[in-house]
Amino acid sequence: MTCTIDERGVVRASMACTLRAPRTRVWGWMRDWRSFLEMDPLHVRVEALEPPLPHADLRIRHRLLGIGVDRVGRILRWREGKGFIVSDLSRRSPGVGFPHVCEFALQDAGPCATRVLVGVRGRWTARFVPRPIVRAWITLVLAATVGIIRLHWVARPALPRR
Amino acid sequence: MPGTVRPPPIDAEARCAACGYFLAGLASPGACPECGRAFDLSEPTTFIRHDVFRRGRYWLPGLIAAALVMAFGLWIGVFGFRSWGWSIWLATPMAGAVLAGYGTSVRSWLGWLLLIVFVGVAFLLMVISMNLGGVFCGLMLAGVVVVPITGAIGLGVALRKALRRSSFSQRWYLPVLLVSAALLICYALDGPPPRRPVETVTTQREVGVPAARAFAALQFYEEVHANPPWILRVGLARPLHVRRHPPAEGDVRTCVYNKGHITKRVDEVVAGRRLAFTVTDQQIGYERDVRLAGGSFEFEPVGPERCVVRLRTSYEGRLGPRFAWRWGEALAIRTLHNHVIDGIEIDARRAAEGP
Repeated sequence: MTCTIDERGVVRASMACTLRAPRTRVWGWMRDWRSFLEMDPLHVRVEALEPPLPHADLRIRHRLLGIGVDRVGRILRWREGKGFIVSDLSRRSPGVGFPHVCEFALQDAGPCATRVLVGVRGRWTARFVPRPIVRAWITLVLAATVGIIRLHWVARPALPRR
Repeated sequence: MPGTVRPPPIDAEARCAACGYFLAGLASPGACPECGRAFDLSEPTTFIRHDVFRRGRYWLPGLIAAALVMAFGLWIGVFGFRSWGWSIWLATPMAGAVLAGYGTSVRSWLGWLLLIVFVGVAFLLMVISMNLGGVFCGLMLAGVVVVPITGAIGLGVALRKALRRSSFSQRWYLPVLLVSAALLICYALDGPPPRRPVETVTTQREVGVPAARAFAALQFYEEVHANPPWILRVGLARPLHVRRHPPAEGDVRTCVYNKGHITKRVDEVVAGRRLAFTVTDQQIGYERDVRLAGGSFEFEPVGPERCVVRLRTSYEGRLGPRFAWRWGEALAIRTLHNHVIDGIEIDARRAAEGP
């Protein structure tokens, strides 16, 4: 687990968990990127943005306790079998309101184990918020996301015999 | 790995019918990269649209939420609000049961049974491990909470079914917060236990010894030699010894138990007929549950060789709600009375038979 915020507000945070399955199987689950993005506890729904913006074609509904904003984004990078990166931006402008990217990546962690890495990179723009609070908040959201990924994986049925 | 470089479309739903691998975006027709099953995205019978996992079948978060709300609820209720009544013994397991019913998918009687057992056992273990009650309290509690837990699970299931049909986006966690908030309100409303009126349990039995002889064999629970019934062994502290004095007015005796002591002062003695006592000090570990006030022994002749022995115990029951606990307390006290009457009868017969 890492979470750093420099003096310009640049955030780099990541957290990982290991799932007991080969990477191909985990990727078969992770390819459903919309459902995977919705495992972030703040992302209640991801849908197509109509009409699309020049820098975004997804609407990501953020809600906490029923309150929140709709943000926008797009899939920036798709590496089949390895992961993807999605931008998460304010509707007002790409440069305000904590513009960041969410990264979901898979790494082999053994013959039958896969490391799922959840990362956030961006710039915290609300400079008046003390950094320890920002760090705690981002850590909390990442931990919740990783926890939900673990729980969802546990609830999936075992692979049927061929 | 298939060589797609673009992500699947956002509205795609195709999954492998065998293993659930997300097939959308792969070259079609083809074979599932995970299990090898053939699929053709233009032929709907070769794939499935729903995920192999549905939130409705997702039982673990529901059970964890139920256990956490009960554990934190007990701690906050007892040590924060100093509640010791219906909010602790009924509202807390019911809150856990609502969340267990809400967060899990119950479709059969076995599922209901497992949920009831889970919530009940988890609650009892929490009560015992937090030293809020003993084994006897736990057994009584099991009888008290089974119906409320069953009803609350039904409420949770109904809530889940109602919200499942809605598009309410916060439905996965907002009920947890609402139930937790409702539990806090219950603790605040319940508050510390009030002074309750003294209740009395009376047991009477005819024994085959004269009243005077039975009176001479009078003994307190701590002095009975026979092994007590299991309910007393499990539910009460174990008596170690007692300072025995002739039963005279003003006599004070301290009964020492493995968990503390009870001091009794004999207030009234009518030779051969009656002895009444007051409990002046109770330090035995059950002070939050029951505070003993006093009691009496009465011996009423019904023939030359028979009498009715009547035992009364007065106590302040501090556990609430009273309707839920009174029956268990009465059961324990009646069992204790019968054990004492047995002891009196046995000793009176022995005395009559001589050394």
